[in-house]
Amino acid sequence: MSAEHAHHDEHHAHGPMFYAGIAVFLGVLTFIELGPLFGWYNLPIPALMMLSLVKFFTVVAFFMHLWDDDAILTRVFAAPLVGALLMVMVLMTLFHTWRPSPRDDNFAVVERFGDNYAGECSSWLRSHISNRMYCASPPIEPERIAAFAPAGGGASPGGPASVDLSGKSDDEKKEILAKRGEELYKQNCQACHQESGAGVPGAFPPLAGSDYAGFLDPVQHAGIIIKGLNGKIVVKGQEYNGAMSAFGTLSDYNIAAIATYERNAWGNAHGIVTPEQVASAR
Amino acid sequence: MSTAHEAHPLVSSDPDSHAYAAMGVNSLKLAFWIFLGSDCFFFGSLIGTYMSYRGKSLVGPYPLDVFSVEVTSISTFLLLMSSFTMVMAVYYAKRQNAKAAIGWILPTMLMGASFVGFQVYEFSHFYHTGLTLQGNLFGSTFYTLTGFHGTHVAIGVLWLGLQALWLAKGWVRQDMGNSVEVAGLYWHFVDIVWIVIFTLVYLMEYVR
Repeated sequence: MSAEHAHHDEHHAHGPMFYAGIAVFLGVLTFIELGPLFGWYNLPIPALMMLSLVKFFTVVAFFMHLWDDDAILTRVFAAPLVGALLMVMVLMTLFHTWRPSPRDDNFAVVERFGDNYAGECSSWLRSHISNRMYCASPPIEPERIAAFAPAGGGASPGGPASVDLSGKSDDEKKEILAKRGEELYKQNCQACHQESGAGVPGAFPPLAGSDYAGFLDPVQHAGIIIKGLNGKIVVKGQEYNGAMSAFGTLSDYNIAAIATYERNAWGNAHGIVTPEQVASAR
Repeated sequence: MSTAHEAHPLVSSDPDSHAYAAMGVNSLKLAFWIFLGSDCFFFGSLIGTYMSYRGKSLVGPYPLDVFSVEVTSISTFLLLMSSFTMVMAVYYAKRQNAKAAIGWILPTMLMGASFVGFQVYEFSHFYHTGLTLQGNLFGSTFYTLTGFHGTHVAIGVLWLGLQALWLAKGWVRQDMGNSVEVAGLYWHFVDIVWIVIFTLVYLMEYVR
């Protein structure tokens, strides 16, 4: 037995010069990898993968000695390594990672997020599981939505940027604005503040029955839609510390419509916000 | 039999010794390779999650907004070279040269600790740039993956510290070569995980 043990332990016949050579080899490969990092030259993804793979197996073979150590060690390591690799590839397939990144490809984003861009989640999750749980992050910036939106649509599809309200009574204005506002609310606001206006306790403040001063004042209300809102606020006795993004790329009329809808839906009765008030809030 | 003994005075000649499994492989080493196999799945799940959500953050900061190529390059080189000093420590421990082994373990620890230091600097820099654990998908997956890797490095530094202490005090129970070799396996594993992370998390962002 002991002769056999000794045999196994004597395997690593490599000396310091050999190890130093391996270290230089690894260093050179890493130096080649730094090229794209510092912009010296570009390397395609397969080349980066190859470099990483060669480094990985060089360390495993010669520093961890699997090259000449007992074969059973290679087997107990290789099996789970292959398993883990398969798991990563299956995950990446399920999450559509092989396709172009949404940051590079407008089509991918539109397909992934459809007309509801409330947060970050994969199309797989969105199509199979309720959005809400997986989309708790803040809405994306309107500029990004505009960049990704299908032609002629965007965050305010199917409606004019402005409607002449002169000569109409306040009730007529309210009706016209709130009707348009309801469409826009579904597009822009509902994902966080919910269809019922109740928000999500602790995450997104409610609009229905809101007692927040910035909501009750029409010009401040418009200002929040235009610029977004960050930091701590208290609404109906609950503290919120989130980040609402800016929707200032919408027209004065469209923002007035959203605000008017929010002020008169779900039992709210806070009057209208006019496009002129929106303009003054910019 | 006796010649083998001379070559390896610290290997027990007791046929009932538990140091070696039935197939003649050192039990501790075999067990540790099995652990490393399980750690493949640990990092596989974190890397799989990172890759699944890669490029899907719709709010910033994005990777290129926060990455510092200098810091990453230096810490990558440090960890890579610490694998060389580690294998040298194993080489001397295998030859029962405790002093030389300690001499190579200490620079390994120093480079590992520097790597962790750079990561702490990186994390605090990223945090102040606005990248948080809950802010976007990149933040969540990046901090989880690299944070657990950094934790592995930190544990490795502590383990090597214990090895150096044991060698210095002569507290190694069996074969010092075995003891240092297994700690070395852990160290190299942490290095190869970084080789993968470096490519997937950092280098991929710079491909045009």
